[in-house]
Amino acid sequence: MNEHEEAFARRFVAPDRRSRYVTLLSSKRGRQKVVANLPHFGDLDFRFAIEVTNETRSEIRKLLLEKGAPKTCYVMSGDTEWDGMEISFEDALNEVAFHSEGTLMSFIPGKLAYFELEGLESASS
Amino acid sequence: MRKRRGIVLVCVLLGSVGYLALSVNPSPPLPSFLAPFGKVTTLIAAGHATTVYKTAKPSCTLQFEELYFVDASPEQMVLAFADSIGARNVFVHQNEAHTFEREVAIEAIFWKGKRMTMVSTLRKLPISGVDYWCAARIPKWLDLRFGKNIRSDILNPANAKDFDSDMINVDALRPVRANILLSTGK
Repeated sequence: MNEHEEAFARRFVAPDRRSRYVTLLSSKRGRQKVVANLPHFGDLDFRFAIEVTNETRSEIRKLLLEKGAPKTCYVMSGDTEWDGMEISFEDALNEVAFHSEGTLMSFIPGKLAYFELEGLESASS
Repeated sequence: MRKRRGIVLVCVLLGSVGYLALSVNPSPPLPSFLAPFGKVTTLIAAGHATTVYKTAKPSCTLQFEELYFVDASPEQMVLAFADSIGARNVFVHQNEAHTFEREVAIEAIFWKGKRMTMVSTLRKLPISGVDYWCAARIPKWLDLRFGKNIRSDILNPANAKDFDSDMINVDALRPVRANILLSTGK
């Protein structure tokens, strides 16, 4: 299992759903399910989530850098162009961000990630 | 002898023609639910359909003259947009569960002016204010080949500045995309 994916499941997923996601992510089929559901992901642990929907790209860049984002990040996404790839910070911000709902960009495993999905209403309800 | 040669020749010719026909058109026919649409000229891809075309297997081709990505847009917005551009046949992939009352993933085809028959086993979805639509399961093998006029996120307020805002009142739109920063630090 990818380090970033496992850390995402163990830290950023709601506590009562963590083991389920770790199990899912450990198999190819389970991972496909998780990825397919990313646009409507409703199992985030909101203690660690800060909504930045209204922030601009440069503001998000600043936030990530302030929190120690390294030069690369790992992408989990329904967009097959990026899914499973390790890409540069700049590519993540310029090419991936704001283009694909249902995309998780993990910068520091279990510590810093940026997630775009199709609406917080569905995610938090 | 001559008759036998003639029969062999005819068989060879028929075989060749058949082989050529299969070679020239290897794609399977369009799914039957698309038949009423004739030529689909405008594609409006909504929801996260922007990723669907990338994952579809290239075995069937639909040619669109125009393509509009209208991510993060409720149905009503998509259809209002369809009206505003005078789209006749509009194909909408929709997987926007949060815009519906039930959490079901669907792919929907809206055809302006007609209420289509459900062709899949999916339940009828409550789309308020919309009286013309049908839902169909779009096979994953459907390959969407696009025309030149590709526009992205036209209804997304965050990106609206990049497009012609006179086509629709972008100020009236609300973002449904959520961007979240996940951090365990301060």
